Amino acid sequence: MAVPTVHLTRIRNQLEQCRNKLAQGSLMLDDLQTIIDALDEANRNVQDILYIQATDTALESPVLGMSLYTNGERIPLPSDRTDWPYQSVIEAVRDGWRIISFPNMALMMDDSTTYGLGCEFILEK
Amino acid sequence: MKTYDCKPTLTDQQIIEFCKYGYLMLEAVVPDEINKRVIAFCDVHPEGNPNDFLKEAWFVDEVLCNVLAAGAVRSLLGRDFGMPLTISNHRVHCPRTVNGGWHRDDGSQQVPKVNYLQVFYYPQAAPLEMGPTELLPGSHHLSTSSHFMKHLDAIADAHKTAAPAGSIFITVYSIWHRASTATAAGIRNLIKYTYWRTVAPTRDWVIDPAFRLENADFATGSPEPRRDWSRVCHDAARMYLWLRGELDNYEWIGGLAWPATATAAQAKGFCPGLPTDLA
Repeated sequence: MAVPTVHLTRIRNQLEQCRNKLAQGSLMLDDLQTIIDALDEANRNVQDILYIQATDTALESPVLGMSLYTNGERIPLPSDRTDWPYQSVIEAVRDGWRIISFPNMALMMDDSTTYGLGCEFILEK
Repeated sequence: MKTYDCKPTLTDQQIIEFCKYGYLMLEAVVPDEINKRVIAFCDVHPEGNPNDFLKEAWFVDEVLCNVLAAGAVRSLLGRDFGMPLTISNHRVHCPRTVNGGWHRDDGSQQVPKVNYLQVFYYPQAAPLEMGPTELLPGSHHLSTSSHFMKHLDAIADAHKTAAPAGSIFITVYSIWHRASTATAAGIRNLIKYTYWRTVAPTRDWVIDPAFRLENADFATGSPEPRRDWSRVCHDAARMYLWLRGELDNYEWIGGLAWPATATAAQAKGFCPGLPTDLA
């Protein structure tokens, strides 16, 4: 996984500070911990993905299915839909998720066949 | 291929239920002593395809030719249906976590044709804690390749086939299914096999004299959110009429015409959409 440049720059600056402090004999454990925290934060900066299959194209329509990936891993969701983190797409949007893909309207051009699970939205954080 | 024949056990409405949901659960139909024998056999033959089961007369008689299971298969595939050619065992060591995993088996085609049946058998109890197979009722009517469902995970109206020992469930081959998470410890066997049609489809099952096609219930019990209600009825009716060998006589005219049940209930002698030669 590539670490974003902004994080690399920040970590490099902190390492330089540590090197200077070490040369001055003032390096503290907390200084090293700052770098560890920065590395952890960089690792967390992975695109989270939320798939939502809804009954309709409206953002308020009920959720039929859901898959969640956070920090690069698929997160198991409970079987009971009432325990899912969101009951509609708009609830997820209000929680900071951004929609990156709307339901594929091309599938609606053939009304003789039902494709897939429903209207699928893909969101990211 | 060996064939088998027996008396059919399903009625028209039971056939229609199978067409609607894509599966039929027969709970605890295999005797306990056979279940124990199957489990012991699986312990000796832990491989994924324990085809030696097919050489065991007791297994063939009590499981593959089980009166209720074979009767249901006979109803759906007609007389002299082909016996399984291979046996699979989805033998899992629990506990285990399952994410995603939705699929339909390789070679799946869209209904309405039912030329083979995919059958599952639990020789031991399969409560929720032991990760029973999860099905999506009605999904055999949805057109999607397995490759396009791998990102799916939790689905609202999926059904976990938790069942007592000796249960057999019969499915449309193309139904969506997956393993489910098991929280308990132990080994869970799930025997899987396929029966084959050898004759053309015809209405060769238990005939209920009171059954009337215009009044048949093709709707699912609760709203199925993925398809319009009229589409749900049409898909089931199309599959049912294929099984009767009469699909060529049917043309869906849409709207709330037959097979939408509300229209049938209000028909009072006039049932738009129902071909007269099928009534």
